Amino acid sequence: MMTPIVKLGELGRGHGGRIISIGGQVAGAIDAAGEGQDDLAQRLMEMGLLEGCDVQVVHEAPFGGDPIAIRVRGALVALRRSEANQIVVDTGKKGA
Amino acid sequence: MSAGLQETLAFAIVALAVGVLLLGFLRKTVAEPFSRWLLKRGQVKWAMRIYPKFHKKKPPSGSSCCD
Amino acid sequence: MAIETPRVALAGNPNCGKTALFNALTGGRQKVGNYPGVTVERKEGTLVMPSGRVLSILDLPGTYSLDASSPDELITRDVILGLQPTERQPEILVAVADATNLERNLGLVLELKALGKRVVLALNMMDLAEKRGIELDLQALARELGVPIVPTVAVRGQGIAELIRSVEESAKAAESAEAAAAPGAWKKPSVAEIRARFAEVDRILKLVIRKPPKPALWTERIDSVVLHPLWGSLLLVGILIVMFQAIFTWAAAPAELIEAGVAWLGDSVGRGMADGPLRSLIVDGAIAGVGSVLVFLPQILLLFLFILLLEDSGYMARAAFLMDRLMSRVGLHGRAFIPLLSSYACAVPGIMATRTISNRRDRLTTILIAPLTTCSARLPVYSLLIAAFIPNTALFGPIRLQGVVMFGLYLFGIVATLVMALVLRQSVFRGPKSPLLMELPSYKWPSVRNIVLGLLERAKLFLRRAGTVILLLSVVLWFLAAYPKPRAGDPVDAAHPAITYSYAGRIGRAIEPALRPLGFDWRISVALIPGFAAREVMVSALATVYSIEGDEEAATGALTDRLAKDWSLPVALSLLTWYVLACQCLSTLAVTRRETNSWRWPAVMLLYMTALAYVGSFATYRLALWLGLH
Repeated sequence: MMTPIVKLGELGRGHGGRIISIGGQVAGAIDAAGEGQDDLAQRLMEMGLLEGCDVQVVHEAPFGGDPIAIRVRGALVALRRSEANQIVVDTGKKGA
Repeated sequence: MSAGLQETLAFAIVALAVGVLLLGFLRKTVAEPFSRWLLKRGQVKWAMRIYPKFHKKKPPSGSSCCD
Repeated sequence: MAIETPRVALAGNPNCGKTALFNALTGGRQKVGNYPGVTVERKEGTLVMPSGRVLSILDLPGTYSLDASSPDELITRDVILGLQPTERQPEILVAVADATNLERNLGLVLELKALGKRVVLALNMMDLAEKRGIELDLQALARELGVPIVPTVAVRGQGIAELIRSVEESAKAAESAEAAAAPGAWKKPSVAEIRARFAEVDRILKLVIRKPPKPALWTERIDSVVLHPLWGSLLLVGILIVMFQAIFTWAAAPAELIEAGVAWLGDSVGRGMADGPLRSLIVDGAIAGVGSVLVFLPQILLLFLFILLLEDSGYMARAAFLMDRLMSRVGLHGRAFIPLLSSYACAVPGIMATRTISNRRDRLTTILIAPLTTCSARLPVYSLLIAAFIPNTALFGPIRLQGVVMFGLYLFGIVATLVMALVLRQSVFRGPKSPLLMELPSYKWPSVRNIVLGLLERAKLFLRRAGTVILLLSVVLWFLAAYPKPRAGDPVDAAHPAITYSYAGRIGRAIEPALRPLGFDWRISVALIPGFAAREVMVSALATVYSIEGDEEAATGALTDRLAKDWSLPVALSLLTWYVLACQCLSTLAVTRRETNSWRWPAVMLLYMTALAYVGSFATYRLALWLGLH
């Protein structure tokens, strides 16, 4: 793999990494009280998908491998690849 | 039972059925939206009087949960 | 503040066993209704505490946070905050958390606690947590959270007594304390606040979890098959086949029993009364009308049994996951799969099942196309017309032409559904796709109690409808078909049955010119009118129009012969097309009105489906004539 930093939606089954950003927000960055924040990114966060969590793609749906099911915070969450692309992971870290 | 009496009773039942259907229809088309409109305005008491189905439980008297 | 009945609300993540806990707390003492203006189910129950005090318990829709995105979640937030004008703000919150997944579940608990209300934490599914080897320091958890904690296993009723005791203590405390937090003391959290909330969760869990859970081995093993691209798809198809087979074959015996019961009741009443209008009203109107709908009760209950089983076990979300790609090709959400599937039994429960779709456009699209799926009420009409017009020639092996035509009609319905979905999503409901984003819960054995309560509730709703609206409509339809009677001089014979002179007959005659281009004569037009109340009534209406008497079976047989003699093949094909596409069902329109809370969508449904049926039937009729079929 060329770079360890990829979008979650680009990963195949069995691959994963540690979340480094969601919806363009980088961990530790100061944001203006969530204003202008993408709604989807916020919903992902409310489900516990946050920077520093380990995620892994564990299932792919039939007919083209979309949507995918990911394991995060001990739960299995289904989402489409386009939605998973909001999440950037570092595949070099644990979880791969 | 004579045919005449039967007919009278049958008509009465049909009229009753039409009446109940009409009443239900009016409740749903007139009373419910009106009640909801009142609710939006905060007129909970009147809204409940007009369409009580929403409100199985009365709100506590002292509470001011709805401003 | 003196409170007569303390109010307790249950709140928790989806799939945390909240409903099971609600059932365990309230037993059968539940009231199910709707919140005003939205079609979010409102479940309230009462609980008598050991002290004799009564608590009212409200089951709120599951949510991951108070920051609502769907109508369900909005209700949860507004009720908790006291912003729902028709609802009294609860004094006590029971936060329900899945003990096997505290990492995520505690997020909402912290959010609830931050409101400053009295919170009792029910740590549910403790048995599963123990099985997976979790060791928790409950005292540390209670200390860190600052709320009482009760471990429970809701499906087996464990910990319920303790939970009640803890709630009672909170209720006493709430009474002596001043009024609860001011309503609306909540604002949308910023991203930083969400991060901080989960950081707090992680901090607490580090102190509390002595031994982390082993992975859910069974769920993983099952999922390696169920979510496998090939095996998973085959399994889904298999489940669907079993479901359909069951709905159409297992339901046959109880349906026949109900039919026989209705016939017996009609006979007994008929024998006990003198011939006359009242007897006709009761037997031919009320009993026959309600009976024709009651026959569907076994099918509907079986359908719901399957749906509840699949839902409770955790399979349903997986079916949506597997189907999402195919559904999204025509612009539908993966969750639309279940409502559409239900519609094969009956569009009414199908439309009710669209409640799980949170996006408005997705939901309305699904509601509008649901009546195009081949519901079971179409079957009697299909059977009658196929038996009359399609020769039962063997094609190859056991496959015969009649069966192929029946299959073709189902296929026609599927194609019409998908095409309409595409059309709607490209026009009226144009817009971006809504996210799929759903949790796939761990598998568990369905709880018998939940299933039985769920089925009872459905049966109650269905019977109440049959006993009210359908009964009243049957009476009115009977009147329209029976009055006015032919006058003294009017000829009453095979060419002019009595119904010709009635209001229904007149309406039929009046609309006949409009239906002429489709090949429908006045008899079919007349039969379409009562058939509008419910599709299958068309068959008995045709029998009336052709003034065929005798018991139903003989009548159907005789009717088949008559139709084969009277109608040409193009007419039959045209009528079949009409039945595939037309919205011949008052109940569907009524439930659409209720679910969408507006008359606009049932009107749109009726108009577009009638237009579709008209064009379709016209095309079929002309094409068949042109092909020289007869």
